[in-house]
Amino acid sequence: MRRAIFWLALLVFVGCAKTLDRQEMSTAQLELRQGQGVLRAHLHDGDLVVLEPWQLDLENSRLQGPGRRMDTQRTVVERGVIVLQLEDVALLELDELATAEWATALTAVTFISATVTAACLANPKACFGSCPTFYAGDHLLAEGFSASFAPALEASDLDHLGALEAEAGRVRIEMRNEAFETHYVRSVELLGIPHAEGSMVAADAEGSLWRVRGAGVLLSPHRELLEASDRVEYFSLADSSDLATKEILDLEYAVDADASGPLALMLDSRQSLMSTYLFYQGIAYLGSHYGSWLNSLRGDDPRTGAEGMVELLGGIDIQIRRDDDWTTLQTLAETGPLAIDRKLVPLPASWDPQSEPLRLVMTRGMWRIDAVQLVEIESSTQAISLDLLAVDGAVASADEREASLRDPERHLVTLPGEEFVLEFEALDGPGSYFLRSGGYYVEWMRDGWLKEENPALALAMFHQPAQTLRRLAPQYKLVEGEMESIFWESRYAKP
Amino acid sequence: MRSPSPLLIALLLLGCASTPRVPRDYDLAPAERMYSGHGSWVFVSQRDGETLQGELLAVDGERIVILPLSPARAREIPVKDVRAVKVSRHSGGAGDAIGWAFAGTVSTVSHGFFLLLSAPVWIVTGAVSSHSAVNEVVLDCPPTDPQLRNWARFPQGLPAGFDAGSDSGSDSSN
Repeated sequence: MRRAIFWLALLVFVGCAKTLDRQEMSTAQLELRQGQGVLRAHLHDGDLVVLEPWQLDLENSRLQGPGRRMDTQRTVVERGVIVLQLEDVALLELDELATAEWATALTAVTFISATVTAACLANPKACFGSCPTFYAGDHLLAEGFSASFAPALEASDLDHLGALEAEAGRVRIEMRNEAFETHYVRSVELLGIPHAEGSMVAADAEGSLWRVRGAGVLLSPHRELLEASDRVEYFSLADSSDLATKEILDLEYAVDADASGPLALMLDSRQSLMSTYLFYQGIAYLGSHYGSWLNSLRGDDPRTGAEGMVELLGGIDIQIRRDDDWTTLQTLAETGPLAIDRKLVPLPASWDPQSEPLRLVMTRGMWRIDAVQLVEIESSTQAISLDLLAVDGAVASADEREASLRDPERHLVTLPGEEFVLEFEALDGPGSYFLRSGGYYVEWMRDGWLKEENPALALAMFHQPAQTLRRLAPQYKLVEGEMESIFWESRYAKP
Repeated sequence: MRSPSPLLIALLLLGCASTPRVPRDYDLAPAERMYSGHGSWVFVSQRDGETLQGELLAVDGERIVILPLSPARAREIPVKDVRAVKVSRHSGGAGDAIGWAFAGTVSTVSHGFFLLLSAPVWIVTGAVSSHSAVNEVVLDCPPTDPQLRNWARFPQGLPAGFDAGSDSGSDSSN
């Protein structure tokens, strides 16, 4: 209701944004504007005749139309159809209403603002970001500890950043809070691995780092989407009747003849916004109980109740076919829909690419895959922890900010809109960087979500996840197509 | 950034600050001004520092004739004594822009996180627009500007025998 009043007020202002354009006219000019606007005829005796509409009859040298005549004191002395002889007229003015020039910019902003409002009202769960984000300039590098949405879930997260530009021996990374969340950042550590240009480094699921190099060519369907880390992603749409429905992506490689070391798959991926949607939907169902639920999560038993749903949705299963059976080698389940993360999945030493096909199994519409590359593991490697040289930000003193990030017993607390520039020592030469961030965040409740409070459906999410994923499927399908665009448009970041 | 209201108020007041106050009877909306027989309200800044105000009755190359509210008697001001003239052509402008921008800024509560971007855009656009609206509504010109007479009660010049001494200034034409 309040929003309706605001928009009504805006429409009123748009309607009022008029200015008066008054021009003195000769009869010749007036003939070209026959009948337009309001005509003001100032007579030699000081009277004023205002006509609307009006007609100029040059043949008979007269003006006529309905209107009124005022004397010099501007008292109305005549109303109705008035006929004037042009010889009695001293001066003619044509008045017209025009859209005020000052309103042009406000009209444009109103249109854009209304579009955002409409999109957000129609789909509020698409409009708000998630978790701390890390940038180099405007380039989104990583999102930190996305799964740590409560104190009890505090964790650290290792994200692959790749090569970074250094200036004067320093690397600048911006850490932003771009959502309605409070971030509690315990640590941010930049790790560097020197290597020759063209080499690659990747982390496995345990966080161990490996030097790798390309070892084969992808032959499968979607090759053009999956063969390179180029941010051109493969993705599918969710099933319309069950959000837990799986899909299979077959992988076939031509292995390089000179690949002699152990092989692995290097997967670049991120989540779609399905998980964000379900997370926000869960908060909405919890409504006023959201705070108590967060408080109920304990560090020694951080079960959220949503484990059943998480299991049904699953991660990305990397499977191999052996003995007529598919075996899961590993399941990757990096949380976060913003930044692409890279993980390494070692393949069995005995893998025969001719007879043992590989595939990815994952929930339809839940993952975006940038690349699945076959690589050869050259060696394990160790990262260098690079010194944090300075922290710049809008809140607290520089010393306080640095102290918060350096002291493992303390958190740097950030609020929506705040950003910090972290300056780290750079590698001496070429290499890859990784970011390890630790902490947790707390999602803020939104007004729009409270309207959806429904304890019964919240309980169903926890205890009847399969049923819930079927029930929410049509609802999600209504917004799935536009979620990505609205989500990114509602942030500063670009994917 | 978390509370844009002080910034909004400060920026929008920039627009308000230069909007002259006009008596209610002369503060007509554009649509009302078209049908009014009276001249617009005018502020005449003289070279001696004094500012006179009243309804603009007539103007020519020699003099500006205004009708103050009190005493309601026509007053002639030689053009040579005038430094600048401000005519309030009609109402609206800055007030509308400020109200519009304020409503727009408040409406960004529906933008969620995006309000961090959209609210400042509203505030800055509102401030610029309200400043521009003042310029659009108020004609600020030298006394010899030919546009001036378009806003006089008698753009053709004072009619012979016009009795300004008994003029009330109220708009009986409406």
